[in-house]
Amino acid sequence: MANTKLNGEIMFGISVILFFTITSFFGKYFIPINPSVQHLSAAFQPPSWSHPFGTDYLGRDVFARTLEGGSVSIEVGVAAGLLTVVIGGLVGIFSAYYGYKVDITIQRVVDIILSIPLIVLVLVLVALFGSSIALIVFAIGILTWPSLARITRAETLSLKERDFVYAEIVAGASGIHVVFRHLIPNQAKTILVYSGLAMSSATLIQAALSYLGFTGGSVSWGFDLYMAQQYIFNGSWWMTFFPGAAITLTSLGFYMISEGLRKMWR
Amino acid sequence: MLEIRNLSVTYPDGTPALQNLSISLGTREVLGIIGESGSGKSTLALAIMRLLPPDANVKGEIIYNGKDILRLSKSELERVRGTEIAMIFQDALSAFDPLMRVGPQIVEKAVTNKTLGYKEARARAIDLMRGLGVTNPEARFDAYPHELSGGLRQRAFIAMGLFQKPKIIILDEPTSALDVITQAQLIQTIRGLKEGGLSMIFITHDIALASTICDRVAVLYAGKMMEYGSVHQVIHRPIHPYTQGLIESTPTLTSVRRGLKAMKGYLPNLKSLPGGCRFHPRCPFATDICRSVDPELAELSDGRLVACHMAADSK
Amino acid sequence: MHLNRGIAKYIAKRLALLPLTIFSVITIDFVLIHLAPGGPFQILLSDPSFSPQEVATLQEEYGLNKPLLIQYFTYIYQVLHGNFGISYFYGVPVIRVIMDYLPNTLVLAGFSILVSSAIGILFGILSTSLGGLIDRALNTLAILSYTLPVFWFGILLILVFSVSLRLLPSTGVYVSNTGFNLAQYLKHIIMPTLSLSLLLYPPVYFFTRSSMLEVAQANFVRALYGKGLSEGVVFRKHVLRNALLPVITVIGLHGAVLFGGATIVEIVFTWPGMGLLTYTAILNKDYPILLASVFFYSLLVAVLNLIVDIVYVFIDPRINLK
Repeated sequence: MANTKLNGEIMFGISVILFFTITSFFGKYFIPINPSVQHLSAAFQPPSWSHPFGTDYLGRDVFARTLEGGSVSIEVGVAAGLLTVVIGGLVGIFSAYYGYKVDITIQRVVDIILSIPLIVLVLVLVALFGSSIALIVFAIGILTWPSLARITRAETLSLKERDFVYAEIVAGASGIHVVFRHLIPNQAKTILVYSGLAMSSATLIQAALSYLGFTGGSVSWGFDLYMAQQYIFNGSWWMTFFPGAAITLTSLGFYMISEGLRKMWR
Repeated sequence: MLEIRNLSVTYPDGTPALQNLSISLGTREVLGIIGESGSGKSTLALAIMRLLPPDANVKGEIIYNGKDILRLSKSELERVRGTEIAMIFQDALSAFDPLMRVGPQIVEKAVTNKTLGYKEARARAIDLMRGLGVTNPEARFDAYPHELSGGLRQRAFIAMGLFQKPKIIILDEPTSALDVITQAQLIQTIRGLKEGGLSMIFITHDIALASTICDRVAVLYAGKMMEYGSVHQVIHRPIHPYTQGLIESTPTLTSVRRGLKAMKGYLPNLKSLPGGCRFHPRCPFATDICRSVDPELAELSDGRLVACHMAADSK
Repeated sequence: MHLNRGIAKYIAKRLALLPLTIFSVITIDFVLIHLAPGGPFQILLSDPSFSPQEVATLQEEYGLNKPLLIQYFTYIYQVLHGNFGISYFYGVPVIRVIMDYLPNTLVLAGFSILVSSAIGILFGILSTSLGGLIDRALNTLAILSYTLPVFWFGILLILVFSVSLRLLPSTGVYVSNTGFNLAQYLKHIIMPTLSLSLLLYPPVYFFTRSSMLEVAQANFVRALYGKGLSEGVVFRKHVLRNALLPVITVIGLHGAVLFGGATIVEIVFTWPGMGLLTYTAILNKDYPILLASVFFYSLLVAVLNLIVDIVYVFIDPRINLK
């Protein structure tokens, strides 16, 4: 029983993501304050009319930095989330479809990947191969797909038993055909719901990585938090609060889209 | 013992599960409630114990010991349940807490209320089980529910029901989940209970089964009582066309050779009952009045009650 | 509790699977070393503090001239003997360094599991018993905790308790001139534990909640009421136990998240555990330590899963292993 009106969760999620996307990617065209300009003499200023979120350790305006700092997070969030979903979905489905040896091998791989803490592996990969955005997306993507693979595999296993799939197989349809025409569409909703979750965690992981210093180059909320912590005994709470809130909102935004979809389709 | 007056139960989605049911249970009597699925028989059992979901709409009165069960306070209700009236239902596996052994569950109420010490309770439970035909009752007492076979589990369930020495026991399809042999053994046990002086309400879809145990029988169809009288009257000389249909469609050893005679049509959807007599679409004797007026229960000359326009004529 | 031969066999079987996982991780480690562009020591070549001769000597020492397969087996042999090489940075055997840091991670993880489970279960029970507004509020709270960056929460805690209130220390384990001081240790561990618990409790909460709702609908609950038991007894003695049993699996299945989160929390609070060690190893390009910590992490996760599986088998009587 689907609600035809988009529910509250989805609206919230979309608005937040849209907001930060616009301000991060296009903010430079309409936000009057420049986030990179340093005014060392005006550093550590609390929130005021001229600086709604205060200034940071280099005198840069926190408001502008918060609004425009989301580009990396959103990019990585969306890209890594999609990568996870594509790999996880396909692997899970093919693994269940072809079964036997293929299935068992893939299952072992899934178990192994799931047994190593994500952050640790991502850190190792980043340490070995450098920290470009592409690598970060890739690292997050190839390490978070196992969870979705488990779900799609279970779904596929049960779908496989159903008559219409069986009929197709008997009629000689190729594996690819069955997968793309039937198995995927039937699980499309589950996969879409999961993609919101994947993007939500990808955003958090990226934030953690940039907090640890692996920013992939540009302005990023996580790194701002790192610097905020360096100066924490200064008492400049605004340096900590706003970037962190932004990360939370973005991640929450993706999550809410996922929740909203789930409620709409249950 | 128990008197039910004008009981009506409607579920929150509007389904009228029971309509205006009035029936009574005497001392040392076995009352049979016969019906197919959707007839309202299980709803009746749950209503008596007040185990229906809290949002179900229940009207009418159920008088026990001078008080209306439906109006009892929580503590009075807790006292009546188990100690005065007990209920056994079909699936014994889903009646036990899977994480606890069977024995402690049988004696649970008594021990929790401190009416009995654990050692005594255990001894009594073991005797009870032995009396119900449970072999090696000491070992069974300490078994987990999933470790017992269906028949044993059902007996343990009965033991749990009887432990408090209730005056009335309601059995809702107690043997349906069992194989024929176990079923026969269990019926023997139940008959023993009857001889022991217990009043019982025996709910089943199996007319033949009812005829072996019950004293009086009520036939339910789609939430309404269609016929009510002694076993001899209702089963051996049925008047209501539904009852007749039920009996004729019951496989017996002889009918297997002659072929089954099934009733035409299907059970109605409770949410959209046919107008007039709810049985009329399937009734071979239906006339115009049957299609437009819902018959009331009327008393016939032999004392039974029937809800049928045709029956009223053939007094 | 019940012991029988079936359980012993199950434990044995699970233990037997352990080596397989360990071997897989060792292999991954090995592959990772050699995947880095230019091989394991190439990165050092670009590091001015290592002269080319030193690199060549190291290569010789680590047997990198020999064919890959021999290297692989030597590596396995070494790992199984606890020989993970010498740390580039500390100059002592890796295993010694790891053993210094590992216990701290275990303590942090242990406390966090306790706290997060307690919170998750408590909230789950409150949600289902009180329902309505409280349920919605707790639900929203859990979602918020789930999407909050764990390191941000840690920093906020520091802001409140170390900077403003000056109640708790912000870094390290403890200052000890006079030996082990429990009060000091606890003061240092509170905030890291709270942070990590924030990360861990939502899944426990969600699962407890759904498990309780499921059990409340179960048939046997009706039979219990039918016996005339009061709501309190039914809830405490039966519903609670049945609902909480599967929650144990959720707590255990979170091994990877647990240790990953611990890593971040350790870095935020400079808590000297495996996480901090790994991070500094990355910054120092100390590969032997890095690879050893990947190994130990997965070992920890595997052991945790094993413990949970075994505990579960003991307490659920329905599992029949004959």
